[in-house]
Amino acid sequence: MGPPATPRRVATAAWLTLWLAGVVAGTGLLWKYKQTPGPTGRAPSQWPSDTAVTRAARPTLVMTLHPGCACSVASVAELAKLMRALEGRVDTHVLVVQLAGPGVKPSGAVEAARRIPGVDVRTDPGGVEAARFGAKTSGTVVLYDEHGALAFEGGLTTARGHEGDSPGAAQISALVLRDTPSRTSTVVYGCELEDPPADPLESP
Amino acid sequence: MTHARLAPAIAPRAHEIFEADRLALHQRTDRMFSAVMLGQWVFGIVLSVVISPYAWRGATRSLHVHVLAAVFLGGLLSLAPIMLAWRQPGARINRHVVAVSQMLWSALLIHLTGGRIETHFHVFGGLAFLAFYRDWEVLVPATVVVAADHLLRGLFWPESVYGIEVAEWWRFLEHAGWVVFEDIVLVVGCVTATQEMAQNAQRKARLELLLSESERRKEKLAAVGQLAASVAHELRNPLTAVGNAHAYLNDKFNQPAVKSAVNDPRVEKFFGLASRELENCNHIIGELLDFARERPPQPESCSLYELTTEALTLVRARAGVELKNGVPQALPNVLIDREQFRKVLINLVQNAVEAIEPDRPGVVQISAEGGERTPLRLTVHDTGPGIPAELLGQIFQPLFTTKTRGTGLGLAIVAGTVERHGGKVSVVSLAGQGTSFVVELPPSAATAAA
Repeated sequence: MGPPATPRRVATAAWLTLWLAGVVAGTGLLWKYKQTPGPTGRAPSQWPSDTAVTRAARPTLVMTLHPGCACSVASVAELAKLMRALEGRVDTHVLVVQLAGPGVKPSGAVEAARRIPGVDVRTDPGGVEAARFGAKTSGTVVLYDEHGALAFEGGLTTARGHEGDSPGAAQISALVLRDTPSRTSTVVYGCELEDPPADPLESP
Repeated sequence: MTHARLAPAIAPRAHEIFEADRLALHQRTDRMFSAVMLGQWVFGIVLSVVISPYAWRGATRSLHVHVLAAVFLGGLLSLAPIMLAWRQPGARINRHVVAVSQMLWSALLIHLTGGRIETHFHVFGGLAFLAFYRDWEVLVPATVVVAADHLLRGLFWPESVYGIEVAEWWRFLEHAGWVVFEDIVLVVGCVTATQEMAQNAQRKARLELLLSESERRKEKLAAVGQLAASVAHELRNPLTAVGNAHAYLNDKFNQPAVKSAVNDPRVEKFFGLASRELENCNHIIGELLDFARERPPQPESCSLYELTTEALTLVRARAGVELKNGVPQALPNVLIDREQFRKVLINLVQNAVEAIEPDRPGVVQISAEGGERTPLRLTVHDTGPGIPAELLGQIFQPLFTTKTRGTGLGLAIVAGTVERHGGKVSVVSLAGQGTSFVVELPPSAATAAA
């Protein structure tokens, strides 16, 4: 038989139970957030003809970034690993959406992208180019093959701001290195590139 | 008290000391983890504010969930261990809550740093910190938390932990296995450390018992010393008077006219007896005063060979007992109180002579070795029958004697003198093989002044 259940022990057991419930709930909410992808865009099935981004007759990868998105730091880290794996077989462009309004504190993703060898980083005033490629979420990656056909659209992380191997990077590697013909996609974890809709009660 | 008899005597006290030491350790570790938890909380908040302060929707920003997680979830994880350490430090439940919190902090930090591989080291560092409790049981909830996290994520969200969409069901075991690997090492460490604590507790209990016995012995010695001094002083005057009267009467009796008039051979015999017993009484008084005084030694450079030779001439010899001075003449001089150490030698040699049975021949050998930078060992060995083992623990106690005559203070005086020189005296005796008294002096005494 264990020690007697004194009021103090009962109180301790009760608040520890509440504590555990709080911890589980908090952890669950964090998991839910981490697993919630950004809105999915729709990339054009062929290389957009009106884009300023040039394409050679080689696979071309375009990533879109929100300059303040902290989650995209992980996306760019995965992009760097992917570039090493692809051994220069892909032309890579990173579009940094330039937004109107008060200045956005850069998250470090943009600087990290500039440090990746062979990657072209360019600003995208107003997010025009991002819209041409159908990107709605920071970290969106699209891959077009050497003929300009869409081969992949999606993200390089498995959760918001989470480094590590991902199905997206694996699919891109397979497409480029083993020339598998199928088109694939994944979800994207990152900040939304577009402002939230205005309050419907206030719209004319 | 012998070592074997000590064990049951100290067991309850050793257990008490062990439990007290263990509680103190747990309380200290609880406090350490309170500081760690607070530090982690502050660190987590700073990390989230620096790395991911805002979430964005276009140009519209809001506080990032990471900051909220660091403040509220991090606060929840830290406050429980801190509160428990404050309200009931050292309680068993505390360290289990700490274990769960610490592993969940690893998970939170991994989230806050964007899943960086480097942050995963926090798991293994945290397990090592938990081992500070020296309680292997706390590793169980920690390991369960890590395994459960990987099992659940492997089932519902495998990409987050393995980077692939479909993972084998057993994959979580591979990750948990590394934790178990560290656990095995830490469990061995905890068990070993706990055993050492138990041994330390036994040593402390033994020391406490010996110290209290030593205190009792000191008190007894002090009481005996006071009595001895008092008796000696009271007896000295009457004995001096008796001695003077004896000397006068002896002189008168030895005048030829008186001697021939008395004409009784017993008178001379009784005068001799009285003279010897007076000498004996003076010797006893001398021993009592030596024992009581405990005069601090006044060291001077002495040749142990010469001192031994001198002492041997003053010992009451016995027919058939050979006295051998085996002290090397080349032995370096020692720093000792010459007068006190001569008495030590006389006491030890006299005891050795009297230990040899009256009807048998025997040898008393004095030898010495060491000196300068090493301890000096002086041995007085006799070829007598030996001292029974049950008496060996008592022979240095005052008033203990197996002889029909004597004060029982001789060896107590020897022990006291040697201890005041910073040394120690011990005895080795085997039945039928004689007895050796060994006086050991530290190198500081063994090195004479230039």
